[in-house]
Amino acid sequence: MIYAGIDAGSRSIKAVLFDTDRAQVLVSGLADQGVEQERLASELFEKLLTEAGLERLQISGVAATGYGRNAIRFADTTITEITCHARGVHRLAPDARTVIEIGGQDSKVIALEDGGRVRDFAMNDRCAAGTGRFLEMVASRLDMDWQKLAEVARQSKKPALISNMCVVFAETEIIGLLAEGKPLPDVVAGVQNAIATRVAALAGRFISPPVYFTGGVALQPGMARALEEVLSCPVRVTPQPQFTGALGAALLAGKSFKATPVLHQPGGW
Amino acid sequence: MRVFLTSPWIPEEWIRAHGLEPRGIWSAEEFRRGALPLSAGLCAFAEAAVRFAGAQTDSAVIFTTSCDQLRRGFDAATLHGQRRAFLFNLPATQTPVAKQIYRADLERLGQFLLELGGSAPRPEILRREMLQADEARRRLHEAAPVPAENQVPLALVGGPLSAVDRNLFNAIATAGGCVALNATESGERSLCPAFDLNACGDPFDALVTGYFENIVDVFQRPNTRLYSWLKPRLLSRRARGIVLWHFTGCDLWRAEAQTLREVFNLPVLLLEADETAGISPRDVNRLQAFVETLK
Amino acid sequence: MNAAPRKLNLSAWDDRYEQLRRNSLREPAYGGPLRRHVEREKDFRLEQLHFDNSSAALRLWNFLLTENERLRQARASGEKIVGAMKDLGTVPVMAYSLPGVRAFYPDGAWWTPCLMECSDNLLQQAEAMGIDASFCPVRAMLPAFENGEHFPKPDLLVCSTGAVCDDFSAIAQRLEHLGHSIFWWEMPRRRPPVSGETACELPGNLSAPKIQVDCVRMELQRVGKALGELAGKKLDETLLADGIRVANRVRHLLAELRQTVYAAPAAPLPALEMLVAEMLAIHFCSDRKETVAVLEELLAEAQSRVRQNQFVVGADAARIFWVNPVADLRAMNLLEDFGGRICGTDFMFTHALDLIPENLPPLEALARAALADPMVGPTADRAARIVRECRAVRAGAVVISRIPGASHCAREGEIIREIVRQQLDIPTIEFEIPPVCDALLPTLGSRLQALMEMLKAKTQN
Repeated sequence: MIYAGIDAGSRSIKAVLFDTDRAQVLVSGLADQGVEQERLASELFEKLLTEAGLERLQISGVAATGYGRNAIRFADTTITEITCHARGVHRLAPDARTVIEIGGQDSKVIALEDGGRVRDFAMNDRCAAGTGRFLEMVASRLDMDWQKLAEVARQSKKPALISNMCVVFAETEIIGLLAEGKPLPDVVAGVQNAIATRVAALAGRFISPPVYFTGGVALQPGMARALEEVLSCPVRVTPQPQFTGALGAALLAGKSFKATPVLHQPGGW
Repeated sequence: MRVFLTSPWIPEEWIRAHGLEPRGIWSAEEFRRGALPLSAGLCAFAEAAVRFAGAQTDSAVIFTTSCDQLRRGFDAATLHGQRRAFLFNLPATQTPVAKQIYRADLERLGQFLLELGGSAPRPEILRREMLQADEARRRLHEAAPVPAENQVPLALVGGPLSAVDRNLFNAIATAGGCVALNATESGERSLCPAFDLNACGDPFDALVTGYFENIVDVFQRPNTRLYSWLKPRLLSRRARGIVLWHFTGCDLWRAEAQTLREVFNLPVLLLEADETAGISPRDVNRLQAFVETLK
Repeated sequence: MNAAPRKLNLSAWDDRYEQLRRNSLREPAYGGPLRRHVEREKDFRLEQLHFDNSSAALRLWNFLLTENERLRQARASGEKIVGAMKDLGTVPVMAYSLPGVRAFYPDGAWWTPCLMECSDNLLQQAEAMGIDASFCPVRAMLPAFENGEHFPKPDLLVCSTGAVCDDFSAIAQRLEHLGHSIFWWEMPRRRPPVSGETACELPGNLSAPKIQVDCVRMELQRVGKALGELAGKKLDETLLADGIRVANRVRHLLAELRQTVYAAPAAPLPALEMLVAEMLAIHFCSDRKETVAVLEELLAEAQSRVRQNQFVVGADAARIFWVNPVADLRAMNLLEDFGGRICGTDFMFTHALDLIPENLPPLEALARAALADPMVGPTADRAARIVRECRAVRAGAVVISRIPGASHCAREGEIIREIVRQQLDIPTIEFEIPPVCDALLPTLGSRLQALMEMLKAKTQN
């Protein structure tokens, strides 16, 4: 049977079609988020169906998650992103005990039990300081692609200390540091550290290894290392981290499906 | 062994009389170094004290009840079995009962110091430590800065200044000001007058009275003593403005800003210390603007 | 008269009120339709809330919402008004022991911005008075004292200090600087007795050294003297012992009510009414005698519903232990909207729910009761009580609601969660509830929904 998971995040919509009989993802996709969330989600869903050579009637269930989940009226069920990311990460990494998810506008730390059940969680969805929004702002200010930020940060010898709790005022601080002659790599590395520090504050004593990092921000190289330094433990990035929410939603849509270990094949997650 | 104090109102003489070395936590070089992962609502000073206590293997940290953050910081520090931490009940009122509480806790602190390996304090040792501390405080009083003609005299009022915040004085000087009165917790405000050792047979009584009756702090209720202490000094030092130094999340100091303005009819600049140590470019900017308006 | 238990919005309560009146509803002098509070006092929030449909609940709400009016009537009839600040549940017991004296709780103004949906402008006025949004919503009390539009100015203001929360202490000090004289009394930070000290047993399974109990007793003696001077009558042991007995009647009723509601297989009364009912323990909502009547009626209603197997929230609702009172009453409705029900609470004044010992000299008994305040001692003590009660009521999860700006919340919540996790291994969530939480409904909803998902997954496994 085939199930669909749609993660209507604040910055982008992700979708996954999962075949429970073959225990694999058939196809996944992503689209920019906008005001007409349901239309955008529906278009993405249709696109994936076409790619997979399927009709809507062949989909046994659709689950929506994420910030905009309640707007997806064609979903059969809505599930919070906490439960979905936990499920998705557990599918990809059954040994995970802590999941850190940093999205465009929020961040979460989820503690898992054996079997991938959520034991506890903490969320920051009121302050941009520990989210992807901070990186976006920095990239925009420096007029570079946000993926390039990671390459720049890698060259840092001594990350700058960004003092501000507010992303808006941190922007002023970053300009000030560059004007003072602080090397760009140090400033960018400082931003990564500031985000990692915020997330560490959210995590408190939550952290229990193995720690997995997921969400869109996990795509940025260097962020995992910044987290490792602040948390003082290894942090692994899940494969396809921007899709773990949608994957989890698809898995939960087919509630009877039991998790099996992932076969590590190129593109096969 | 070192005993780090989070408040100047715990007599260092008492620690010395037990053969141990007292230090203000704010003066420890490693205190508040580097960025702190700080959850919303937590005071950076209290959080740093908790982490500092957690990192000590052969020193102790004395917390006080002067604020919620430190009280609960102590709870956090001892949650995982930290035994080298003590919570001293610093009373807020100035009644006979409050003095009794202060005295009893000083005695209880003494028990703790013995458990740390300190030696039972002999009255003559205590007396000697008190006289030496009196002399040290007298010399510190004499060293109070005198502003140059072209510098704007300011009063620095508020919570403790750590070693990492010392460049605040440079920042004020660069802006054209001078700290004519350091009324922070780690400044002049915590210099008690000389003990009256002749009035009390037992130096311990003089110690209790000398400290308790001269606590000048924002947490007191009422905190009229703070204002009584500030008034003549602001006048005699000709302070033209007040820089209110406090940690983000410190309600006790922040709430006094408006009262300070009203009582002393002086402009007040709020400077907040957060989880990042040192003075930020933002603070420097504020200081420059403040001094400019006072010139 | 007895309709099946349900929750009604304000419009439905208009009809329900007419129905009750047709069935010969008997109300106290302060009774009437709920809607009048919207029209007369601008308590607009009532239009967003859902209320229990019983006449007992109507009486409870009218009792709460007419407090200021009743205080003014008491002043007009020559009674003395005492503002008992910060201390939750001790000084009012003393004040009410004296004839012609009423105590109220100025801190209670923290609910005014919620009830009036900030149309009162108290929070903005507090900011203009130097107390901004970094402080807890109790700051609404400050302009309320100045403008006199809410409660009457008390004849005596008594405030505990020492081991109390910082922002309240700071706000009260600001109040004093504005010219309102305050009688301060010291509350030491409770600690366990050390070797060599005599231990005193306190209510709530706690203990403290005798020296601390003695200090509080002496402070309460000072408070008692001040109250006696106000009343023109000495507050002697006989009066105090009588006062304790009546206070214990209230506490006993509340204990029965909590047991009836929280232990039931489903909820006979909603969480919102239980929050308001528990608050009566602190200062009797300015009328000690009426508090007894209100609680007796509420208890009778709850017991009747349990006997008849009639519940307002079903047995399939998740059993939630709730920690800390909420600045927005709507949050209690929200919990039930998302599939939860209250099975236990710690609204920061559990000591005011415990019986005051009657086998000790009255001041000694009050001192021990006051020292048992959960906010006065180690957070671990508070957590231990929460763990005990969670076990007793089979709570599935703990929700900690943070009060915005409250200095104790950030650290306390972290410690309580850790201890609950270690000892009970049940989920805990924490979120902040401002005085009007409408803008946060999606995020609060997400957290509550995630919690329900976690609990459901646990039961399925």
